Amino acid sequence: MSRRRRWRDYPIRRKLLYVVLFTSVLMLISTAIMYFMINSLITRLDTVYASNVNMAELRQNLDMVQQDLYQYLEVRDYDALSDYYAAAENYRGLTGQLSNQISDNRVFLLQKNIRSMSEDFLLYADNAITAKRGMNVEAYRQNYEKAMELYNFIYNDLAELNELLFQNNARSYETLQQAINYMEVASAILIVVIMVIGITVVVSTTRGIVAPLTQLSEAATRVGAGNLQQRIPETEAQDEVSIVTRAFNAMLDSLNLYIDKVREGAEKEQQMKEQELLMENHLKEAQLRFLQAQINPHFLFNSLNAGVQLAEMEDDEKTAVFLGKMADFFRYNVKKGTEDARIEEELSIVENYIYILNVRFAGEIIFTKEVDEEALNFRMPSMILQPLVENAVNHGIRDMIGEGWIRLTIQNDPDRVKIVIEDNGKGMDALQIQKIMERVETIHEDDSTGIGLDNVISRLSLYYDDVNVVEIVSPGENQGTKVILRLPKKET
Amino acid sequence: MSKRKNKSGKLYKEMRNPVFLGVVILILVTISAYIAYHSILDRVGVNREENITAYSKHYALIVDDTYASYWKDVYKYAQEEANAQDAYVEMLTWTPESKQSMCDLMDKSIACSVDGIILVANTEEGLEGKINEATAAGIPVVTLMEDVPQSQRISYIGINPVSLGTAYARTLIDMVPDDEEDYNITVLLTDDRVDANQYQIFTQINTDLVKHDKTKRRVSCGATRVATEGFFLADEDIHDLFRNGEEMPDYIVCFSTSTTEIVCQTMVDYNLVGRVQVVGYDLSDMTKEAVNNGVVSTSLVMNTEEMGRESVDALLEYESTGYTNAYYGIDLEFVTKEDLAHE
Repeated sequence: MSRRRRWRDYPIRRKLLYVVLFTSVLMLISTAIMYFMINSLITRLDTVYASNVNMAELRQNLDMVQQDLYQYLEVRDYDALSDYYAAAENYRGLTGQLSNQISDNRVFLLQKNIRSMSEDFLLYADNAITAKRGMNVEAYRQNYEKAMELYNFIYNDLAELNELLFQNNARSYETLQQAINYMEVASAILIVVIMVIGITVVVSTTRGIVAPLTQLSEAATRVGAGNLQQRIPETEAQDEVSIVTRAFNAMLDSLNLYIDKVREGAEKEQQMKEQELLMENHLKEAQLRFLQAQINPHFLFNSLNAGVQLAEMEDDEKTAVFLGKMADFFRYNVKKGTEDARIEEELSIVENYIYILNVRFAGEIIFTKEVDEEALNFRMPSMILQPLVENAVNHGIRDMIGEGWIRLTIQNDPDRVKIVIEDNGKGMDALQIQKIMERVETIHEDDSTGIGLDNVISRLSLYYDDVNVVEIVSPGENQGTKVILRLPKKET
Repeated sequence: MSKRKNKSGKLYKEMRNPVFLGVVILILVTISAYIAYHSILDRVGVNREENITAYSKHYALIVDDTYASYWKDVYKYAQEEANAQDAYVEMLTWTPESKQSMCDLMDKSIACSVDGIILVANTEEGLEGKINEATAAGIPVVTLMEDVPQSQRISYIGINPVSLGTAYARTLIDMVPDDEEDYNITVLLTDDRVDANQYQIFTQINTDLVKHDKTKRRVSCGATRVATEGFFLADEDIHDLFRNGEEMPDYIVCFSTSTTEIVCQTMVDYNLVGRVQVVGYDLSDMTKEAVNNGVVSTSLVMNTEEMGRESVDALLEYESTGYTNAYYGIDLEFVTKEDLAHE
């Protein structure tokens, strides 16, 4: 069973059509009623004095009958006789239209009397003519006298009747005029009322149409500004605006659902990346352990320390220092595999590394540093600076023509510690930088401590929960590379 | 209960809707205009048939208005009685100023084919013939207050002149002081025909006064005719009566409203209040004031209701049975100042 259609279910076009029709029909009906009433009043107005006209005609006819009768009786004029018969017939017809009713109304009573007397009058007149034609002088005189007596009675009553009718008609005319005035006022009121109704209906209907549209446009503006949580109140109506409103709300629901899905997907991806990193770390750890398992670290440290002592015994200071630094380096590497360290400690390892390299490469690596000592106590992940320096050595200044240098700068900025590892080596192009930043490419050299740039960048991002900790800048090929670390400050 | 509440709540909500209100106002204005239109039309053309009452019988009441003013009351009661019996009474009044005579009014009534005539006869010649003419035309005639006994009238409604004369005499006997003085009573007649009611009343007064111990040989009663044929003649005749101081009566008896009023004014003009006792006729406004002021000692009052109703009843009875009483008596009383004070 289909649901009964309500006003709000109708299409906008039909609503507007009904509104216009309704107002027009109202106007038509009221105008028709007013027209009918005023028209009938005006018609009545036209007939108001008709009764007086009739009385005048009656009197005129009576006079004609009397005159023709007299003329015939006096002269025996046959033209007068035929005129009399015609006039009498006419008069008879007119008086026949008068009321014969006995009533308490003077006008009707007069009509009844006039009618009755007129019949006698015509009877006596006819008798007079008959007597005249029969040469009966006495008879026609008597009948004529009687007829004249009745003529006088009728004449007087006609005058009284005419006067009464005139008074009534004058009152009626006045009343009708008054009525027409009232009708004019009523018509004006009706027209005003209809106008007000019409305007109200139109305003109400258009408001009903425009308001939801305005609501919709405002909602669309807010959605455009980013507020996806709002909803426009829905109705059960089935018109166009309600359909669009429901569609709009459905669209917002779909958007929110899509955003949730995308967020969910991003979260999952993030989770997967974390796991991957964790896996890599685990792998590195495993590798390290594998290596450590192959080399007993304590044996290595003890052996190196023995070497240091031996060198000292042989007064070979350089060898002692070299071996000592080697021991420190490997100790740090093992010890700090999973811990964070102070920046001072990282710097120390870098220095050890450079010393070791310079021993190996006869001092080819020019290393300078500028350190703000106030920054040294802040913490950072371990095994960060040395791999970066190592990277600068292996991919920057190694095999370069000319003198290669590496500069390490540690700066205590207001909210971060800025560490810059700069070299004047081969440089990188933008693509390489991008790949490194995206941890797509990882190059592990044989002669490496085993921790690549991607590992460094990942650990920094995870440690500080900030992907913008590392920045790699290179003007281009053979123009050196700058690795800039902006580390949020972490106290000891 | 809750359903009714819901419906009334819904109605209240609808009433607040401006369109609904507007349509209601529109309907009300239209209906009001329509009702006003019809009520105005009802006032227009009072001759429209729905505004009148129709009857099946038409009676004429022909009165001589010169010597009584109570005919309007008589007519009112006659009309009431007639309307109740589906009849209508039309009153035709003759005054000295009228162009039509009483005979003319009779002729007119006959020509109008009325169903009955109530005639208050006067002294006009030819009335008897007109009554007979009407009877011959099948129109029954009853006479009221003034009889035409030789005519073919079917009934007379009024007072028995002998009884009235006796009543007048009784009143006069009560008015005359119980002393040894002689008193003179003048009766003013507007109709001095021997067979007229007034003369018969006068005769009876005289007879009773002569017979009564208190008044016989002491009180004389004479009649003076007061002319009514021309304008203002009655006034002149009455003034003449009072001009002659020696022949001025001690008591005056009036048999018509107009003579009573003329006597009252003359009494005041000649400063005779208290000196001449007046027995008046009817209780017009002027006569009533005169009674209250003591100018008139007492005045004869007819029961106008009885007059009106009995006249119509006589006609109706005749129509229905073919017979009616020859005479219907009317109550009368003499009203004094004390009686008026008790009203």
